[in-house]
Amino acid sequence: MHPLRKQRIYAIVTVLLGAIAALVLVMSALSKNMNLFYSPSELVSSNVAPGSVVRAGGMVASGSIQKSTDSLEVIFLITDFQNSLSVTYNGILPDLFSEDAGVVVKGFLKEDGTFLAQEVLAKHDENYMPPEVAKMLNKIE
Amino acid sequence: MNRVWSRIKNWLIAMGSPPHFYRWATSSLPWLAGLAVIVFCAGLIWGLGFSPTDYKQGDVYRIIYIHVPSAILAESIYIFMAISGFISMVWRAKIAGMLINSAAPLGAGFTLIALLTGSIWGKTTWGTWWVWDARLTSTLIMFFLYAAIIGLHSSIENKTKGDRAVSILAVLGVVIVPIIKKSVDWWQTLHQPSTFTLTSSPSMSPDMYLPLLVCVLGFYCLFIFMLTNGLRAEIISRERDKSWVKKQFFKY
Amino acid sequence: MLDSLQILFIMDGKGPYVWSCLLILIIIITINIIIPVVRLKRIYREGTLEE
Repeated sequence: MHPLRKQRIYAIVTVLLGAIAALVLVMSALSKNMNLFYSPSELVSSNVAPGSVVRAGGMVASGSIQKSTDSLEVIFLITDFQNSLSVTYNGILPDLFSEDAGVVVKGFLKEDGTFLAQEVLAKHDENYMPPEVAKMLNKIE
Repeated sequence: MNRVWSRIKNWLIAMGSPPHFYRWATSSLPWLAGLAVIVFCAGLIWGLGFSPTDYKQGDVYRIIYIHVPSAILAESIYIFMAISGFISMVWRAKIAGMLINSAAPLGAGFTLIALLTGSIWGKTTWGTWWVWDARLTSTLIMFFLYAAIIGLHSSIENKTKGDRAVSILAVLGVVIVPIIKKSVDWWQTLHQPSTFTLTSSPSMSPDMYLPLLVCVLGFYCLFIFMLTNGLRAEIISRERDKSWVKKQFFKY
Repeated sequence: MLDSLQILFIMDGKGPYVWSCLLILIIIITINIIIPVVRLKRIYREGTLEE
């Protein structure tokens, strides 16, 4: 290969590696901030001040949803299977909100350690399947 | 082996010459269009009309047949531009610069499709149009990179200088692609979880997966057609004063 | 036949979401195909006028 071209390749690779190194440094410094939400365990261990608006996420614990009969208020537990957090929300829930499904809530911790949500978002997974298959899998389980 | 390599090399050099590529493009464009239309429509009709519904999301999950191929293609186009940028910087091949120029609007378009369809899908399933999580944000950054490449080149009068500037941006910007790919594993995002799939669950079922595969293939075919279509215009626009253009394009 | 088309179109109320995604796809792709065609036409017109 022409020596000039070789030199250009070295230059490009060096600059690219430098850029990647810089990016890795920046990202590892920002890593915490790039998470959209805290898990219940993280919320417990990091002292998030009560009243500051944060996002928390986890699974809605099965059997934990309590709906109020005369208002839109709903109380449920979100869990990461180590710690759980009691969430109170007053509003319309997304269609995919259900037990044993992922959820991300935005709001703040109250003094009593429960979470008051202003927004509830449903997570979904990448396991798409037809209803019949889902039914069969349920039976097997 | 050596012989095969030298043939490939000769073919590449021939295709790299604008008049040769222009002739090839003009004769094969209808075939490329036909192939793209067939595969693209087959995939979309199968996916949107005939694949089974999802047990949880119902029919709205069908957006996947538009959203996922667009996103995959958008990332692939960036990698393609980075390779072209590398070739343009090392070998100073004029065609490589033209390739970046014609690929950038397509990449921007498919990124925009992925963002908009994702937003619509998010509204119905998550309950929000937009959230600043790592996957969505990094994809938006890729869109800005595409926009920067388009803007940078059109703002530089000298085409050779423009090619060089755009190549640098294409090569350096490619780091965004692995970040987008791995963002859902590295950080907690609203987009498609990896944290909560530890519970034993199957992947997508084959009668949903196969149409998606055809869609991805169809999008790639479409890209090849669109790129050839764009590159033809780019070549003529840049070489309009050359004698071969006068002969072949203006037919003097 | 008509019934099944209607079912396909409505998709249990989710139809508008899916079909607007398809519309976005088609619009953006069409724009990206037309731009180079228009560009070539314009170059041709300018080029033939000069001579």
